[in-house]
Amino acid sequence: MHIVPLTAVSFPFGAATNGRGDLLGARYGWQWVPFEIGLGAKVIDELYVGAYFNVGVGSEGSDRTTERHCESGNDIDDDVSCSSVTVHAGFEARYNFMPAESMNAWVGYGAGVTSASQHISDAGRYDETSTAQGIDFARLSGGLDFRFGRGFGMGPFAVVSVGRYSHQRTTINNIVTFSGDIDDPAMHTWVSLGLRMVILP
Amino acid sequence: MTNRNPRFVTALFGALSLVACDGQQYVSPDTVQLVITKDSSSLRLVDRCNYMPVLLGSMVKARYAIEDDLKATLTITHDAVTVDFDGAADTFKVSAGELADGTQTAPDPPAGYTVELIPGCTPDDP
Repeated sequence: MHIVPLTAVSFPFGAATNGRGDLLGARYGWQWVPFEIGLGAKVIDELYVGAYFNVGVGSEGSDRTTERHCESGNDIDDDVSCSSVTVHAGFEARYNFMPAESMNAWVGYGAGVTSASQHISDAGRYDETSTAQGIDFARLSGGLDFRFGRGFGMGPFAVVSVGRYSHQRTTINNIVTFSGDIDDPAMHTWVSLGLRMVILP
Repeated sequence: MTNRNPRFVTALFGALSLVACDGQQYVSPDTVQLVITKDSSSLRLVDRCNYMPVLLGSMVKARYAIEDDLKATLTITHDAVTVDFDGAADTFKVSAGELADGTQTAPDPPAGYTVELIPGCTPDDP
């Protein structure tokens, strides 16, 4: 079992859909990823195979209309709030180049499902959530682990998740106003940089 | 129970009320009303009000039966409203900017009908 507490920042690139101006960064701001849970085992000393699950939280993207509504409520005297959440989950394999050394470099490949949500609300008068779901075709990762003891390691890492959203759902005031396939899907990328701890590496 | 200075308590609540309640702002999303009228009878066959979503990527999609086999599909995003009719080649599309200028009438609706998009309405209950 790998428990992977980490802290990372994740940046959006590419397009959410091929619709005009529908860039990933226009929908979602950068995300803070406070943790990742990994469950798996080493098949051999060099090779780890397992599942991953992580959640990122952040602000709204750079779309002007969205920002205008979100920023209309930035004063202390109102309750307009905007947020975004991303989820990645799937399976991955990681190859460790020097599994017995105190410093170990590793690379990984994974694939799974992904989801991203935006939310705006204002003290119960209006509430809107837009969620996109799809597939991460490639989760490419790499990093360095510095082992401080037999059961504990830490080091920097980078993850590039390449995916495509295929399904969209919108709720307004808790009513589903649309749920269906995205007509014109596009490829996107989340790039994450961070520091992770590995317990029982 | 402790005794507190009534002047201090009054001043504190007064200050809090100024901060908490004055000039509250809300999201105030735009709304749009779809009205489809039969010309021969002036009867409104469709009269529905919906929110225009605030978030990029959000969508409102609704399908309305008008008469017989004539059906309309309403699609609203945060920057445009589109009305499609089954079997019709033309799409009635209005940008949020155009809608802000006032009521928009479809230039080429199905024969015998008038199709309008009107800004500002009270959204229907589900």
